Amino acid sequence: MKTKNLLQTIAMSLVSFVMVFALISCEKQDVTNTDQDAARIETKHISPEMARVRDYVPDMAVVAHRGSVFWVPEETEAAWRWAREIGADYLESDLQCSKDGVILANHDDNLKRTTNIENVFGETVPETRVQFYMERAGMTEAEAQAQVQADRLSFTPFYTKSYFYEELMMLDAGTWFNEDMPEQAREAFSTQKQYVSSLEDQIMYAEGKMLKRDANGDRVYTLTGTWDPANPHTCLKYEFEYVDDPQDTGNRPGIYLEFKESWLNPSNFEQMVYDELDRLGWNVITAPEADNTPFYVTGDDGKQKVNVGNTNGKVILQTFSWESLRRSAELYKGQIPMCFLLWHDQITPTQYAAYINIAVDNLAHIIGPSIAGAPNNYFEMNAPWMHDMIRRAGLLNHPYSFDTMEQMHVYFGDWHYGASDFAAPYLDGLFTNRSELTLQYMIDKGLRHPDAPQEVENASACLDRLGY
Amino acid sequence: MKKYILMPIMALFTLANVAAQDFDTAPTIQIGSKNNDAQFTIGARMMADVAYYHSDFTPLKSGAALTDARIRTSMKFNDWYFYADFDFSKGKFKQKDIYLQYSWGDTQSIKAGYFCDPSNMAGNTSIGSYHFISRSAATRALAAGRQLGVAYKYAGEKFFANQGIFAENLYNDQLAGFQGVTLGGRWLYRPINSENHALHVGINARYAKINSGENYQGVVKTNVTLSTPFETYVDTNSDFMNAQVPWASDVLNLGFEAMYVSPKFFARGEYIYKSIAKERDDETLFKNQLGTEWSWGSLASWQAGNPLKTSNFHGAYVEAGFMIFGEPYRYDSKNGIVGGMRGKTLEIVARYSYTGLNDIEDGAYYFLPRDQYIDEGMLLDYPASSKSIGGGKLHAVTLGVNYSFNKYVHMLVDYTYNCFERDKYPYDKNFHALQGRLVFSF
Repeated sequence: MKTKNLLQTIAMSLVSFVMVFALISCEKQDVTNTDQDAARIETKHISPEMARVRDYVPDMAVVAHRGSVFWVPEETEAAWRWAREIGADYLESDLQCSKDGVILANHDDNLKRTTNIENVFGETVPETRVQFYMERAGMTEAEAQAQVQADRLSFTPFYTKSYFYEELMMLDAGTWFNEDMPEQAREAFSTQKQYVSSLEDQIMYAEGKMLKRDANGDRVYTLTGTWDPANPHTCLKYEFEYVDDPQDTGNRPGIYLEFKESWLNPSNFEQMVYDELDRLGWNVITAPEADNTPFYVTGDDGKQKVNVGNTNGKVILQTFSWESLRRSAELYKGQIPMCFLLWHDQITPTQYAAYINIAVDNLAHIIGPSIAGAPNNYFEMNAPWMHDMIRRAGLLNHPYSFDTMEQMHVYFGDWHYGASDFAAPYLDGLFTNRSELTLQYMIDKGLRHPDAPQEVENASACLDRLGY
Repeated sequence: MKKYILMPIMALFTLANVAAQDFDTAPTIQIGSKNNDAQFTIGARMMADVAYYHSDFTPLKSGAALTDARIRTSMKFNDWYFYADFDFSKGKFKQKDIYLQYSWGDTQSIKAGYFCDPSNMAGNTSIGSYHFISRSAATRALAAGRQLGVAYKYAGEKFFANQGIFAENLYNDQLAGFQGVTLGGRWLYRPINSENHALHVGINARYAKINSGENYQGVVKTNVTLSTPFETYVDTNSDFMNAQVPWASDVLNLGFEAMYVSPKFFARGEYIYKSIAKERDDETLFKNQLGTEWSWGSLASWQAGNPLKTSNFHGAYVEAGFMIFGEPYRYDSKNGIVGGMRGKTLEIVARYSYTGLNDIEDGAYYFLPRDQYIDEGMLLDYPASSKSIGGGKLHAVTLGVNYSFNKYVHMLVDYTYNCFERDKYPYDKNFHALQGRLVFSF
């Protein structure tokens, strides 16, 4: 009898258990769905004041990434003249600083890949520095020798901050390209010496100028002041000379400036750039343009021209650096468009939203996510849900960097066939190494502003025309 | 030969009571020698859980699981007692209690082997008798579990003391040298102590010297993980409440507890404070990082960039049960715990628990994409290593109804609301769990 009761009890328990389980099984439990999670997350939203500055930036802006890394030696006169002439909206650069405070453009943390610095200076203090100290610091030869000896003790070779800009002007920033990219090589990239560009150079190219060169092809400049190690960034003054570019067809692109990792530059680098933009008339905080200045105009020749460089959107700042993002917010106060660049593997919607919130908190207007695909095979940070999240925060999306038509098909949504939950295209502008391809693609798709140039010059022919 | 055949048959049909430690219910099957100076028991336990979870953002895995499948055996000879208990649930073999105990008088015993560290009440209460489907998250995150060692217990009427010394590393698989040691104890005062009516208050303490770790840049790097699931065994994800404490050296647990038991009501609670001091061979690490362009230039600068501090955590719970009908609650004076349901019983239970696995520097900035605290309080590219640990904070409230069909078969139904907070999971705040458990034990 006891055994029977026990069995009945067990049976009742099991039946009850199964019933409970059956009941709760009626509800389907989803596994984590990235699209759904992303859609459920609410991010912070930029303020109306920030949105007003965001709108300084033209829609579907074509940003010439370092000018181009495909056609020309990056971040040089050749690169930015080409990008201007091909019709890009922005000339992009990576800003660093010389020992004597010249703001210059260099992508890598050192100069080895894009110049001949290893051959010119090796890993030691430039030998010309003795003469430099004698001329610029009023030292005797013995004092200059002693100073160079002192420099050697703390010298870090190949970093821009280790060299006077006059020393950097001795470097050839063009020949390496011919060796690395033989199919795009042009003799003129060597014979017309390509310099490590200054920010002033970049702005002048955007304004339709080019370097003034002497009979030897060297750039013309004047250096004044006395070297003062206590005041290294302002004691010397370079006056660079420029001439009107005879090949200028009237495009006036803006500039898209990256603050590199904080350890590469002085801690007041954002202030230095602010001041330099001020000096050159490109600081829209102190010298704003008229609000209604169009991004595109018709020139005297009746052709449509890029005019972004004459608008309040003429400068966009960008950075990967968290520290620089914070300092830029403190200094620029969100009054110049700012892009927060992203680099993160295997990101979740929660993490992505956090980046966006950090951007909003630190007065950024744009997110710059990496894109996948050959040749760089960067992390995918611009999936449709990611773009949607950026837009819901009121930010613009400028992914980097496009090299192929395939990538454009992907991120303009051609291959989603309307099936995505998120509307294409998945960008509001883009960094491209192939401005000519991007522009033509956008024109063909009707995505280029109707007032923008609707014809794109052949890339190679453009270089021919520019004398390379 | 006949004896060996008959013994298992006898075992299957013998019903009697012998005290068992982990289960704290008597095994059903026992074999006694003729003069009753030796007894052999065998028992088993099965627990099947079903759970339905609802959460704000990250889903937990609802469903059913066999959460306990035990076989236990014991041998008693005069004052000697041997016990062994193994678990096969979820298809994995797990070593549970296995020890030898010697008792003298009615109050004293010494135990050696692998068993629960004496330094907390909840851990020393068998889950089969616990009145809740799970121990509190505070216990699971902060209290010690089973250890290999020796313990001496005194269980007098007014005073109870249980303390032991244990190995820090069960399998002695440290890289080199001494594995470390743990000391733990629990001390109770019992102004009221009878089988159905008891009150005790007590303190407990545990100290562990951590010596086992991994080889990290030429030194031994220790790490203590504090984690717990959401008071459930069906989804045992312990990523939510999870604190990693590197360079742990000296771990101190301090706690106090109280319990009241009457025939129809019991209440018990514990507070657990855990302090983890750290130790690191800075000089070796500093020297081993020299030789690159990015090397720290001095030991002082290296230490400033890699600061260490003692981390502190705490948790607590209060549990209560009210018996609607059935066998009265029983205070287990030998172990200072309340016993499980016996016979046909219906009870309702409730619990509140708090678990704090956060030790965050004042003003620290949390950079979520990289799960990184910046103690300087602002965005920096190269901040000093953070001293902050954000393992999460959990308030959990449980209401339960338990029914015991008889001494062998119990059913538990719990609803738990988990109020969760952790910087890493900003969209996960509320977790609800409706759980059921079927227990069969003999």
